Amino acid sequence: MTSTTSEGVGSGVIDTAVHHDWRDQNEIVRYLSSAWREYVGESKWFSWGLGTKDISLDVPYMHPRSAAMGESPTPGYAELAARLERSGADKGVLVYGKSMLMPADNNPHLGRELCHALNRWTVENWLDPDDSPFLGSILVANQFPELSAEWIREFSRHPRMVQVALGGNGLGKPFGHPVYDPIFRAAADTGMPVVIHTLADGAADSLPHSLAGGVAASYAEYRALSAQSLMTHASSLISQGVFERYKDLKVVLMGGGIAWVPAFLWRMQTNFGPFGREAPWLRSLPYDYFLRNIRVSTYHLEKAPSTESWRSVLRAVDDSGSIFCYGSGMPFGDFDTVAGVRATLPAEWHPNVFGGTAGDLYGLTSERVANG
Amino acid sequence: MNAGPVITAGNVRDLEEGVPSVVAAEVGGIAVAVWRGKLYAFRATCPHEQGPVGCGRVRTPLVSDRTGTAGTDESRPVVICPWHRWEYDLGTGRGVRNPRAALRTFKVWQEDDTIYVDTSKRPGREG
Repeated sequence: MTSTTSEGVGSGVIDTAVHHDWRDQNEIVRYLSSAWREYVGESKWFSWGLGTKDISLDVPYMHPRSAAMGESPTPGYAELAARLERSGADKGVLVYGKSMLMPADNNPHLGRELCHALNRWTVENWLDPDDSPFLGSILVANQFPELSAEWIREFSRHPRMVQVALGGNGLGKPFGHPVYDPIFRAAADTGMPVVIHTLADGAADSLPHSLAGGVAASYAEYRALSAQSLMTHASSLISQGVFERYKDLKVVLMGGGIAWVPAFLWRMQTNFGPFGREAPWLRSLPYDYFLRNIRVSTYHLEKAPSTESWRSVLRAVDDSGSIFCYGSGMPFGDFDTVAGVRATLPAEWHPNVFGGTAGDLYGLTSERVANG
Repeated sequence: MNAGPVITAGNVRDLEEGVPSVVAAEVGGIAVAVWRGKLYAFRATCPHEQGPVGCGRVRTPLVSDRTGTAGTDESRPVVICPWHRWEYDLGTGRGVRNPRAALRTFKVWQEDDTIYVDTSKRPGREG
């Protein structure tokens, strides 16, 4: 991949939020064992069109994944790679689109098999091509934490698999709950960050809801409130001691923008006192855990009135952008371009936001990012 | 109100174990408490959000060397603020979970049953 782009932005840009999906579910089903292929069935078994189970979980409102700027709604490898290059990024971290909901399938066994199939599909179709600009996320079947840990050890051997995706919250518990410990232990053992993407909890036909109090009725509601579940998981991870057990573990929070971070941390600090009784295993302040262990993708970035607004809001938390990393959200129709985010955030943050933070997360030097 | 740096802070027989009593002084409210036979004195206002830590309770702190476990540290008492449950080590005044926060503590002693507090001195020190 060249480092010159159509938007004229610099090289070494890493996009942490690229959503890849299947266009036809048979792309995924063919990675199942023969027995599980029988379980799902094949389309057109019967003359009136039935015969297969729809493997998708979905949201109950119109999602911009279906309106991607007039282009094909679900781009394949070549088209998404081209869009990534046009956007001004050199590397894109794949985090799944609707597939990310799969771990929350109400049929846990089928969900587990589909997650494994999705990982194999991602490796063979998106990561294996020699010139692939993509890096991958291991989608774990989090209803089966011990099995998920085995998968992390298995798929982390692929040089382009760079993180673990918790995806749909299959057990409906905040991710700091001890039941998920095997996943974090395996991530820490293999040096992989764990990404939590808002909306991963949000399918209408799965147990957990993406928003406090229920499922949003419209995309606008969901989008406006999309940081809610990130706050829940962040407070759970901190207070349940995940970062005490795994001091070097990094967790990437994605899909809720970044403006929520100061208010969240201030509230955590203010209400930290009870942790003395309720979480005596903690050794640091919430703020310190957050800065050490959590990174936040800019996707979907809030529309602040000015760059100075960003400085005033976030300076108290991080005056260099070192906990933030650029994420576009492509190919969804409301994705954030490199140029757009660059024009929005303070210039002094750009080195960290557009490559430094993600480079540290995924062990990439700027030279490797630019040159493949 | 007590005047001067050394004040009287009531009768030790009136103190209930672990329940602070607050007296007024020139420097502000001062709390005294008895815990396992030893007297403690500290500022009655919490440095966190100016809560009434003098109306809190003195207990042993909870400690843990592994996530999900809890034990008690019997070697030192803490006072717990009733507003947000911030805890302070009464030996040092330091916040238990937030060492950046500190509660002012004072030298305290008893003569016969009367409690005295030197509001110009820290416990165990002359200055």
